[in-house]
Amino acid sequence: MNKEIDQKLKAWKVEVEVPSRFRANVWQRIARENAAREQSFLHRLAFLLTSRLAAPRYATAVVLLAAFIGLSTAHMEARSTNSRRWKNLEDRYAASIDPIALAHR
Amino acid sequence: MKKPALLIFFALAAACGVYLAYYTLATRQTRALVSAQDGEMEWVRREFRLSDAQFERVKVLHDAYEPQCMELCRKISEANAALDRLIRTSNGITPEIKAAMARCTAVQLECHQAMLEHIYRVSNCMAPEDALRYRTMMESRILQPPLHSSRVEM
Repeated sequence: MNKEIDQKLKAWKVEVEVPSRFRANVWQRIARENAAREQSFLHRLAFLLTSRLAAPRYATAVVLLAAFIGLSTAHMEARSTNSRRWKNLEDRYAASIDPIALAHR
Repeated sequence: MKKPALLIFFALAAACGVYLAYYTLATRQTRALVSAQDGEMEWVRREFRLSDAQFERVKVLHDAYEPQCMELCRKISEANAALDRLIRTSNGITPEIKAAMARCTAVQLECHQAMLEHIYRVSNCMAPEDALRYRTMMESRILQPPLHSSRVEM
């Protein structure tokens, strides 16, 4: 039984008719996908970084912008920290003249 | 690919460096005040724009008030402890508990009066508008504390 199946499988030939423009269609599809990838945000960003921003004047601008962002963030954080500490000192002073607060500490 | 990586590195280094330098410098004064032993007195000096002479008077008043404040603190602790003991050992309100509660209220009243007296004395050392601000701030914090009183970090 198995020999029979083996012989039939060996004798079996698949004949597929390839459409006339099959190759051309495949290449067109690859070209379309490449074009779409080039239009994607990440690809454009990578291109910008490797080509435009690597130029000295753009690179300087990027570094200055990063420094400015760091400065702004530090300014906001410092203001919040100073305000919190100022309130803490106010609490400490109020507690230092309040025997009830001292008794509950 | 080397140039973009360098650019990102320098940009990040610039942002972090500027952040650390500015933050450290901008918070230096308050950090020193918070860690100082008498930071709260320095707070009074700066918050109410006291001159050296005014600050000296406020400091003398504060130092003079401290033993009285500690004594009142001791009285409160004793009155509270006595009331706690009676509550734990009784099954209902006894005349002793009523007396202990009255004692707690009396000590608290004594504290409030002493504090208010101190607040008036200190505010009399200040310029009128700062004195009013000081009295309002302290009165709202101590005599009429907010429902959610803030935690004091020492």
